[in-house]
Amino acid sequence: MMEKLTDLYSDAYSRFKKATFFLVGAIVIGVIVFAYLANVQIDGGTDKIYHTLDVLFYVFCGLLVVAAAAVGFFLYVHGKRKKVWLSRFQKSKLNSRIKTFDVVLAIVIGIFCILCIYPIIYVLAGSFNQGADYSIGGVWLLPRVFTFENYAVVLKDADFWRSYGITIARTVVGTVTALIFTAIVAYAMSRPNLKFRRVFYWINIFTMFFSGGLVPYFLIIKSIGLYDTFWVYIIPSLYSVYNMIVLQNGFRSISADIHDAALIDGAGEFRIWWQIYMPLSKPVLATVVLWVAVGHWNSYFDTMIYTNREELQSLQYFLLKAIQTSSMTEGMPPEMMERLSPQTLSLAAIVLSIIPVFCFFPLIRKNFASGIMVGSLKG
Amino acid sequence: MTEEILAGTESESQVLGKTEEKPERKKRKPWTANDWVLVGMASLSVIFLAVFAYAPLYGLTLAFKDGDGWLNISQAISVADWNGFDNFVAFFEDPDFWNIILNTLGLNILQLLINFPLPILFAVFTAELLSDRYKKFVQTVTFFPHFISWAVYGGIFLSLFALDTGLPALLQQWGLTEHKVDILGDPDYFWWIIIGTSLLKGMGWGSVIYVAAIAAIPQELYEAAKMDGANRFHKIVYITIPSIAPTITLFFILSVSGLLNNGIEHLLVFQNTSNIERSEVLDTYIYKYGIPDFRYSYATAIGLIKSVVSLFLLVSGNWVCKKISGKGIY
Repeated sequence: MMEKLTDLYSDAYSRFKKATFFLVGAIVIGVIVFAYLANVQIDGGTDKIYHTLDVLFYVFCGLLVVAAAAVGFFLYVHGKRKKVWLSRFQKSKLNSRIKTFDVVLAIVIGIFCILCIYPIIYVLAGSFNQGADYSIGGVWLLPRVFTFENYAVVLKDADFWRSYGITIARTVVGTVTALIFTAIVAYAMSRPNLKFRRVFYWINIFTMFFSGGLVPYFLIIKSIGLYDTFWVYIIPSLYSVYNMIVLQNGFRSISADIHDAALIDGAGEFRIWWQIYMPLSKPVLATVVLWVAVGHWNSYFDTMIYTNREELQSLQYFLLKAIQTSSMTEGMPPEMMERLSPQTLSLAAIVLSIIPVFCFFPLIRKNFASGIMVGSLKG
Repeated sequence: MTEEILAGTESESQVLGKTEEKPERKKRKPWTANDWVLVGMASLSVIFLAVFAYAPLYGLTLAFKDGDGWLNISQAISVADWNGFDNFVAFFEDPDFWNIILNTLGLNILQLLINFPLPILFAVFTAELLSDRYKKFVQTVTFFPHFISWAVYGGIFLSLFALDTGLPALLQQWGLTEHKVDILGDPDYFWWIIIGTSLLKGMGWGSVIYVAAIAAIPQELYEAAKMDGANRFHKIVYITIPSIAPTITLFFILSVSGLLNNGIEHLLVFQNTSNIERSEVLDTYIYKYGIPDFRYSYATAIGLIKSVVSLFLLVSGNWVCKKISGKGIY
């Protein structure tokens, strides 16, 4: 009974700790954000806005004080818990093992992380900066003249939304069809009783080693009538030998007994694939889905070669053109041109294009490596 | 029908030869419905590859034809006259030839020297980090750029390196450089832009495979080594690296066979008319002449050279690795 009570207590305590951690974190972020906003020049900012921001800043400062007081009070009341952090650290192996090497390593890797993510920070800073001010140069970490106008303009851009739609459509349709197609083949190839297994295997493997090259491929795309249609995004990427091998190895790891049992119960191969093997290999399927989906979302070269019509532009191609040719202010009234710059508009468009990737990223991260070792070339 | 079935079982037993049990071969079991279903499922790949991988091989005949300049590529292949090796000769005699070869090989060898070993080191040293939470954080942050397209990630660098608004202006403003350095326009910087950006974007992801390989090393090895008095560097050199050597070999062979491939989506972002001298590689050259310029035969010929050399590199790289470590990829 006593044990259970302590369990209950420590569980509640850890949950409380977590909640406090997030709450305090949110308040600190709020303080930083409003400290910045209250001091930066805001594009079209009136006294009222500045005043409101000031008030919000003080409100968050007050919240921080209250939170600090509450945490301090809690630690004081639960005096025994006060030293838990410190003593845990002192007792841990961690402390005794830390050497200069570890510190240097952590710092070097940390610097690399900052470099990796800096472009994203730069893009955010630029996209919230007023266009005319950005053109002077020197914006590198935080917006100098804060504005939402870039986003407002991009959100009204019909071309942007059309290419966004094309990319979403090709990602969804392309991923689903490619997964089903590749999984069907992979299932058949994973069965030891498949007739002509070796022949199928070599027909597949050969294509990994030798290809016709860009122009003959283009010739095929043109002559089967895919050129300049939406299907040019879907059909040529229905199948990839590499993904097939990954899926095949996933299917192989399922016990043969299950297959035999289903066969005795009278299920056909197709049904076994769909009703047993597909649900059982969700982790591998998730990995392949992510690869295919990311590939679809990110590719722009196919838009460049295989399409001509503007309606088929994918999002990435639209963004690249916007950056390279500064085309986003075309056809705008001159009074808007004065304040906006094509660069900040493209940066805002870039941020909007990254958002879905960012939302799915936790999911991606969870699945990234699960299937990657499976796909060694020895089929 | 029966003929097909007979032919089927025969060739199957020929192919599988040794593994097939003998009494079964004599019986010549007829195909069941499930056999047909399986073959049908597998045939989907044959149909797909016939169109998208084998039919283009026929298109390679363009390399030996005079198919340049036709507006319709289907016409180019069916109507154009044979002209032997003229397209190949034209490429070798092109004044840009040596420049392109230099760029292709130079860029790739640099990548092989820098971008191949660094992810391995990165994986080894991330595994050495003490805090698991920090490790997770590092992995999350370094993976993220991989999932952003080159159009976007490269595009960000285009803004970042823009002469008047980006880093060059900032460096001048801070007094670090005397003049604005035209990073994007100067051909001398091009290779380093490519190396640097692909490191930033790809190092985290490139290390995934090695991280997985390191995670698979049995922990007892390290404990045993510790008992024998090994320090951390001993552990890295004598346990970690040898354990992931097969993975390294595999990816080394693949990298060597890709010696003529450059990521075209990556290069096209940064390529412009002022850095063309150092940025033109085989892939971009083929694209430029093949698609917008209608020089189908010329581009096909160069593509054919590329495919053949790549195949040769793969086979010989595999051969060398087999000789040295006893393990290849096939």
